[in-house]
Amino acid sequence: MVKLTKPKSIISKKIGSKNTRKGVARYKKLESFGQASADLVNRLFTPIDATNRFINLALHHIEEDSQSRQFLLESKSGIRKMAELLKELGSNVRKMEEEISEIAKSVE
Amino acid sequence: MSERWRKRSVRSRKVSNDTRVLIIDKDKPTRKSLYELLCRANYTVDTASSKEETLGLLGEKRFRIIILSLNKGDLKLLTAIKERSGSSEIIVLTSYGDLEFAVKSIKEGAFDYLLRPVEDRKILLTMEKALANKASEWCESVPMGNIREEKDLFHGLVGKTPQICDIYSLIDRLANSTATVLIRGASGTGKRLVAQAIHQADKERRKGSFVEISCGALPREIIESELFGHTKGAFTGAIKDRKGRFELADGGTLLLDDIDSLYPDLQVKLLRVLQQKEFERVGDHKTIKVDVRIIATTNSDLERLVAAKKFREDLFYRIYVIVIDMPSLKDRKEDVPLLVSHFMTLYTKKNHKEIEHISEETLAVLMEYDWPGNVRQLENIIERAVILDMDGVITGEDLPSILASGEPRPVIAPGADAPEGVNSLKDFLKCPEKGHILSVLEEVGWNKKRAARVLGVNRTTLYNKLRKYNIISA
Repeated sequence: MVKLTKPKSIISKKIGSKNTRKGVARYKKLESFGQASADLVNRLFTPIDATNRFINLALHHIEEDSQSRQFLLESKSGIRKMAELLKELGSNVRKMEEEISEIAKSVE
Repeated sequence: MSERWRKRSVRSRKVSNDTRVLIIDKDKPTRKSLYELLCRANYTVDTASSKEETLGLLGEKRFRIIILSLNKGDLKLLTAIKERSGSSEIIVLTSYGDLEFAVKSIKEGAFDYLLRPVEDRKILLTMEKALANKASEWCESVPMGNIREEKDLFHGLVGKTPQICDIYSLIDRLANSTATVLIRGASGTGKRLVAQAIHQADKERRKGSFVEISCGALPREIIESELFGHTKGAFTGAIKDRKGRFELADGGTLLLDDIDSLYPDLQVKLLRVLQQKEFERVGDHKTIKVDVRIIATTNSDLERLVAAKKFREDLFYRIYVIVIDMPSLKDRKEDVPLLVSHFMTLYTKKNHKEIEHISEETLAVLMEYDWPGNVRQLENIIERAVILDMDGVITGEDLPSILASGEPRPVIAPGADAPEGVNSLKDFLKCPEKGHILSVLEEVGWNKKRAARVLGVNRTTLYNKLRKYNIISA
């Protein structure tokens, strides 16, 4: 399970403090960090997708009981786990982005 | 074109299959892996890595399917390809996090979208669906302006799942026949729209009228007169001759809604019309001949009603010629984004609003919900959301609380204790329905029109249920 610190709690403290301008700068940084992370997660799906397909193609050419086949199946399972983790990370980043933009709206 | 693997395969692995596919992706491993996969599945494949290369290939060859890799903000590329590719079906490949964007691409004319990482089986299945969708049109040149309309709407029907595509195909096949059609399905699944689609698809009959009557909504005396017409003086209040629905539908189509509610003696009369295409007006002896296609709908199990002697067996077999079973929305959830987009466009225009899009989370909520009221319920919820929306984006706040909370509807659990005095199984089984109607009525402040909408039934049905369960307005 990939967990990120809830931005609402960090930001509400900052905004509530006297130094609001600093707080605003900080949430803007967080917002761009969130966007960059979401973008990175999305871009990672491209090689994962292709690699998974190549593994499937290779599996068609390999004998049923060969050791290479086992290695490829292990790789496939690893790729699948990686994709699941990225999906979780992606949805958490999106939630974080939304919270930040909500706060941004309320401050502005 | 310089890639070694591509040249090899174009020369040596071109198959007799005329299904030509174009893969457009900047990423070389994606292009190559898709290429190998599709060649294995006997497709003739070309690849392109840039817009220029794509447009060049589209100028030289016709592709039945285009797999287009798109990122956020690339919709212009989709539009450009759509304009050049004629009747090709475009399948958009995009990343998992871009669901909202994927839905937009469908609005722009893509056939379907695939979210990375995608399983091989899913790619091949989507391609088969795309081929089935345009099978009949491929040999003919399709005017560009009609493509989106033809693809998205089939005589007013929306959907691309195999279940709904089978119905489109059946409508096409039976369009120019005179066969009686029975449409079965739960409330709100679109039985009436399918009946209208059959009427519209028939080149001759669509020149005539599409007339409908709800068999369960009117008292016996009125429905007889409504169906067959009456002459002046036939009964108290018959102050002049009046044509019935059969006469009005002459040369066209008559829809008998809720045919299972038809009174037994009228079932006999209807049987005669179906067999001999003739009848008499109430109070008259003159026989009138008509040429009407009959379409009947029901949400009951007619076989069971026949077994219980509540519906005539001979009439059942007379209408049981071509049967269309409407799938519930729960069974074709893949159509939800398309339906949402369709209703958003419809109600945005109707209400003069400017709605840009629906948020990904809201769409996910709509995809998760089980839709007991089917497409009608979805339509009502989108209409409500469009009306209530303030900021141009439909979010969870615009949905009714029952959806936004993601909680199921409050119904009496099937295992709940029977109320006092209820002993028979039949009476016990009625309790959840009554309880559900009551809870919805409470929720909407006993506004029957709104309650009927939420329940996904028409008002007449709701009134019948209120009478049946002896529910009196609060």
